Amino acid sequence: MNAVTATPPVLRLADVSHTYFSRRRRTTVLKNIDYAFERGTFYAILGPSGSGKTTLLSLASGLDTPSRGAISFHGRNLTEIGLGRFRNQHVATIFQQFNLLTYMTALQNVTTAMEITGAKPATGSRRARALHLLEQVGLDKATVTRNVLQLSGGQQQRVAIARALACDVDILFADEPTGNLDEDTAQGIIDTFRELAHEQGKCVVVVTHSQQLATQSDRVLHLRKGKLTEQVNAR
Amino acid sequence: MNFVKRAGLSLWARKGRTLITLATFLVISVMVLAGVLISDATAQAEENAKRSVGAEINLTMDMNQLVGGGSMRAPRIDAATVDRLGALPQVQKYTYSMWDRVILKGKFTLVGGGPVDPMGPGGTVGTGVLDTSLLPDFRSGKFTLLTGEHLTAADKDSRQLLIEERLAEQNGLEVGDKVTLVGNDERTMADFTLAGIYRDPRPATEPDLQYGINPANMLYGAVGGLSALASDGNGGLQVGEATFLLEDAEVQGAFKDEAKRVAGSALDGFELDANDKAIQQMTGPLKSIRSTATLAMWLMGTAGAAVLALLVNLAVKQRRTEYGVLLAMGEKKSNLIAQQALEIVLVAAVAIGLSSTFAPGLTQSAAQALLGQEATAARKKLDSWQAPPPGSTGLGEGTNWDDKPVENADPIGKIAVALDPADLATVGGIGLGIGLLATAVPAGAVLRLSPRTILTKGK
Repeated sequence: MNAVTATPPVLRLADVSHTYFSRRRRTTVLKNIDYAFERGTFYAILGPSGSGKTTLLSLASGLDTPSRGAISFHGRNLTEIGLGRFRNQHVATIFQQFNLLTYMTALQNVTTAMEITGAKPATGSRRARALHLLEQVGLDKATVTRNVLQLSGGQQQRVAIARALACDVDILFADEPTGNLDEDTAQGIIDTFRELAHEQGKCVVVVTHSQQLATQSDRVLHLRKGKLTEQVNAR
Repeated sequence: MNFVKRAGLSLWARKGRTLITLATFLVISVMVLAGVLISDATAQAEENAKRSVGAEINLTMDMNQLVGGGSMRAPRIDAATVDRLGALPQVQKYTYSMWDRVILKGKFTLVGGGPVDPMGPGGTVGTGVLDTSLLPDFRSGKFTLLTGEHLTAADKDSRQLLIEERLAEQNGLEVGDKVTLVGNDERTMADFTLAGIYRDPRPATEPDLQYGINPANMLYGAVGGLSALASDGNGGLQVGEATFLLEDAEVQGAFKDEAKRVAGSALDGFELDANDKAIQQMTGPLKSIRSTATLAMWLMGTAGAAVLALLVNLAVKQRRTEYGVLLAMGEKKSNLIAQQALEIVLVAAVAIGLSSTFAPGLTQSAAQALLGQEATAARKKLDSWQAPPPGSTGLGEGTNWDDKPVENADPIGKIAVALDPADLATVGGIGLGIGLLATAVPAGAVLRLSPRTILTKGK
């Protein structure tokens, strides 16, 4: 399915298929997906477990290459840009498993990501920006200087979100970002995503089972049996 | 340089693993450093031994040829031929000597209390020497000239003598006094002036290995003067042995080749001994501990490296997620390997630094203990060699002349272990090589995968 867009897409998936090979069988999880993600839009991808949501997110975020088809960023193929460079300069990902650096504090996790991606705050230091983002996701100063392994699942998830927000990228991907959060905090995160999309012109793509999140997105994509269908939410 | 900061944080946060790696590295460093230090110290001691002994070539009678030829007559070589060898460009100094039985005439008596004298009543050994200062026993410091002066080439045809302290004391002789010597034919005689008195530390009861006489009765005279008394003194000066001191130990081969060419058949019955036997005798214990230390170094180093490689391998595999996360952020693979390598390098640097503080002392003690045992055992073996009794060749009596100890070539029993920058560089290089290899192989295997595969594999 192709999304018809007036502005050039920030990210386009062209006839993307992906197949996993195991010893005894091959499983095609994505089939001929054509889709264009636009800047300034908040997307939610829904689908049952095993439908290929995480795979789609991995391919779109440059963590892996599709078995077939092409993915382009602002019209340039990702392989041409280089997957490492694409991930470093243009996308940030919030993982379902958080994937924090376990030998660091919450604050160090955020500043390290900023250093790696070269993100520089408009004003103030990286540390100040990191502290601000961590506070924004609901972590106090005492918490952010603790090793992440000493934090609860919800706190770790917030660190992961702050880390992604700190990277100042064009596209933000998130895999079940509110799964471990209470309703109020989850709503705060959703508001942040909406603000990123609508006020900062970012493209936010969230894989979720949460109807609360899906209903507040701009577009909902359904992934079923490897096929993608779109539903536009009326706002 | 973000990876440098991450390396520091990682090491600090994972203190337990860091300490285990440090301990493993420390063991490897100490063992390798000990091996290198012992190897260096023994090599240095061996080099010194070669320098002290190896620059000397002795022209001596070839016992095997003598025995094999069936003749019991000691070979002689014309002194003029030896002079030609001494003039070869490789030679710095040389001396030669001959000996014969001489008899002290008049009121003077030989020192008693020794072995039954094989030279008969009043008889002793008179050794004619071109330059007494070049005799091995004087050069090694075993003999000491107490008064007077050495006999030199300038004194070649004079009638001068050096006598041992005890013989001088017994007869109230002093430098400048004259003694009369009678030749082996018991007819030829001449007066000799005492040019010097020397000390031989061997007790009177210990017979000289070569002549079987009381060492206090040995006489050294100017070669020309003494040869005039010799029983085979006709037909020019003939000598029994010579010593050539070379400019450099490295030219031994060239000198021997040239000497054989110049002297030709005159060397029959002689051997030009580069004193390899002395070097072997001196350095035997060194070689033994060096091979032990080298073996221990390789065994422990290899075992340590294997343990270290396993530790690092395990650590790298446990850090898959970390790699995946960093790659997902776009961190370069080279930076990830650099971080892991830097962590190992930092630990290695601390371990090598620590080992350099106490390994030299530890190595000195251990090496000295080992070397002391080896040297003692070697000395015992040498001391157990028995010369055949006077009048016997020892053939068929269990005497092996090849086992005869070389005098003034005691097995080396001391080494000085010293740490120099090159040793540290060697150990550092080996340590870093092991560490980097142990890092690069598993890290390379992990980093070949895509971040997604790294992050999801096994989940």
